[in-house]
Amino acid sequence: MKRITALLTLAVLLAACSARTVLVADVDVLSFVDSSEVEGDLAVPGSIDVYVPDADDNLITPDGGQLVTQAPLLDRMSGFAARIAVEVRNDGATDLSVSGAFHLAAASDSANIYDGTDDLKLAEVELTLPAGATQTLELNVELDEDDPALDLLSADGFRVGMAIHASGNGQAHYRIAAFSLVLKARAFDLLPGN
Amino acid sequence: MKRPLRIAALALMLLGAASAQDVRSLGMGGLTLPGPAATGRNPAYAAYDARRFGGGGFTLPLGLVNLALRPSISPLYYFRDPSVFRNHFDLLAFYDQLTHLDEFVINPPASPREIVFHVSADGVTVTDGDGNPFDLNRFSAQTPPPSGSLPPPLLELNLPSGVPGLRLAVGAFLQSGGFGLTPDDALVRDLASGSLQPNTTYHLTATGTVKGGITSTLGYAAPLPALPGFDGRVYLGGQIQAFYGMLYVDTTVTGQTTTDGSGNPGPLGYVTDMFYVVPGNGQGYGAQLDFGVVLDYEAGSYGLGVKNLVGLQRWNGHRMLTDASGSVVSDTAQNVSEGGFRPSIFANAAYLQPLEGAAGDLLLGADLGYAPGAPSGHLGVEYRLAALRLRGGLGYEQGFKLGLGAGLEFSGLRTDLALTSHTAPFTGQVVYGVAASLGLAF
Repeated sequence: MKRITALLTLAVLLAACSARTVLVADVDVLSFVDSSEVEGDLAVPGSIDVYVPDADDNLITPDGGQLVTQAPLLDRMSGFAARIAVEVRNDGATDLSVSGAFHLAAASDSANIYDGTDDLKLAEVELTLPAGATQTLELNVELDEDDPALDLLSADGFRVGMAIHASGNGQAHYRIAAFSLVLKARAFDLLPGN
Repeated sequence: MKRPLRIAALALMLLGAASAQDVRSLGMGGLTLPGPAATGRNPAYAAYDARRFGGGGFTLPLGLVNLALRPSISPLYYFRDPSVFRNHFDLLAFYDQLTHLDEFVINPPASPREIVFHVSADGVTVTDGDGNPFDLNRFSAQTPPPSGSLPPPLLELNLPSGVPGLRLAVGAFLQSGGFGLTPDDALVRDLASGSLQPNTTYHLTATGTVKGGITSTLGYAAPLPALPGFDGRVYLGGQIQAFYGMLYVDTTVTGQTTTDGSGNPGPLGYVTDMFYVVPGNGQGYGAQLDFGVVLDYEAGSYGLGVKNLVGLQRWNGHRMLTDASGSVVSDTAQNVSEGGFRPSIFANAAYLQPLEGAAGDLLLGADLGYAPGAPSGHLGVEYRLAALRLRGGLGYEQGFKLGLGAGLEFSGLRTDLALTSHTAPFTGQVVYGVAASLGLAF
C-alpha cells in the first residue's frame, strides 16, 4: 500500500493545477492478498467468525485488517468507496446462515477493527446458504466528502476489513472474489479555509 | 526559498498588467507596424512619423473581467465563495489570463478533470477519467527562455533632451519564459503504455525564469538627408540601453521517484536548483547596443532592427540547491554573465496601397523576428474604407496566432476590436480571446 503515497504525490506534481482535478487511486487490494489466503475451507461447528484480510495469521481472531497508509491527502479525502465480494459454498449437509460486515477504522486501531472502538461498521449483508449451494456476500460502501466516517481517515492512514459470521453445522468453502478501494482527493483541499 | 518565488509571482502579475498589446496589432495576427511604437524593436522608428501608418489606442484590460468573475480563472472566489473556488479554479487558466490581460480569454486552458491511478500487484497504470492512458505530453509545452537582449520596455518615460533626434528615456523591463514541464523519456513512454516499469527512476522537471529591472536609454534617430535622384527616405537610429537588474529567478524543480522490483513507486523527492537575485540580495547590471534602419520608398516601408549587437549582462546573486527532503544543501553567492554577439533581429515591411475608384486603402504588412530559441513572424492586412477598418492576420510566436479585427475612426476618436489567439504554456492549447481599445485617431 505504500505505493499510494508516491502515486498521489506524483499526481499532484503532474497536473493538480486545478481545484477541480480529482486524483483517484483505484486500488485492487485483492491482488496484494497472499494467494494462500484468498480461499480456503472452514469447519463450522455451530458458529464461527473469520476476518479478512488476515493481519495476524489467524483467520478466526479479530485483528487490525488491512492498513492503508502514507498517502499525503488521506486526511482530506473527498470520496471513498470500497467493494468486497466473498464467494461461499456450503459443502455440508444442512443450511448455513452467513453474514458479512465491512469495517472502517482509524490507523491507530491496530488491535481490533471489529470491536466498535475507533472503527465503524459501514455495511453488512446476510444470507442463508442451502446445502451444496454457492452464493456471494457482496458489500459496497460509498462515502462522500461530508460523511463523518471519513473522520477515521487521517494523515496516518486507515484500516479496512470484513468480518464473516457463519452458523450451522458442516463445512464451507470461501473465496475472496473482489476487494477494491477507490480513494478520491483534491490537492486544493489542502488550502487553508477549505 | 519562498521569498524569491513570491517576488517572481508578483513580477508575473506586473508583466501581465503591463504587457498589453496594441489591439490593432492583435487584429492583424500580432503584426508590428512601422511607427514610434516599434522603437523597442528598431531604434530608427523613434524618428518615424506616427501618422503614416497610424497608431493604436489605449488597450482595455478586458482580462480583468475574467479575473474577477470567471470561476475557473478568478482566485477571488477563494474569499467570496470557497466552494466555487474548490470546484472550478484552475491555475493554468488563471496564469494564462493573468499574462494576457489585454484580452478576454474565451477558452482558457484546462487541467485534466481526473487522473486515475490503478494500483494492483501487477503494477500501476495511469489513465484519465475516461480510461485512456494519461498523456503527459499534453502538459509539457515549453515557452522559450528569455533572450539575451533586453525586451521592449514595459513602461518608458521619454525625457526632454533639447537636441533634435536625441532620445533620453528611463523605463522598466520584465522578462519571463522557459516555463514548462519536462518528463523524462521513461515517464512519457511508460505513462503512454499505461504501466510503470520495475526498478526504474522517473523524473519530471519544471522550469521557469523571470528577470526584471530598470533601464535607461540614450539614443539617436533621424532621417538622412534626401539623396539626389532617390525618392525614398532613410531613417537611421541607434541606442545604448543600460539596465540595473533587481530580479532574476531561474528555477528548476525536479521530482523523482524510483520503482521497486514490482513497479511500485518509492518515495517522491523534489530537488530544486535556483539562481536568484531579489531586491536586497544581489543585483544585475549591463548594457547593450541596438541599431536600426528604416527605408521608406513609394508606398512601402521596410525596417531592420538589431538589438544587442554587442551586449553584456552580469547578475550577482545566489544559487540555492535543495535535496529530495526539502533541505537546503547550499546557498552560495554566484555570478551569471552573458555577453558578446547575441543579437535579436527584427525585420518588417508594410505597404499602403490606395485602391482604385475611392474604394479605400489596403495596408499589407509582414515582420520576422529572431531571438535565440524564439523565432517569430506575422502577416497582416488592414482594409480601410472611410471610418471603417477591417483586419486579419496570421502569426507565429511559440505557436500559431490568428487575428481578426475591426475598427472605427470618427471625430478624432478610434475604437478597435480584435479576435486573437495565442498558444497556452504547459498545455500548448490554442486559446482565443477578444480585445478592445479606445484612442485618438490621427
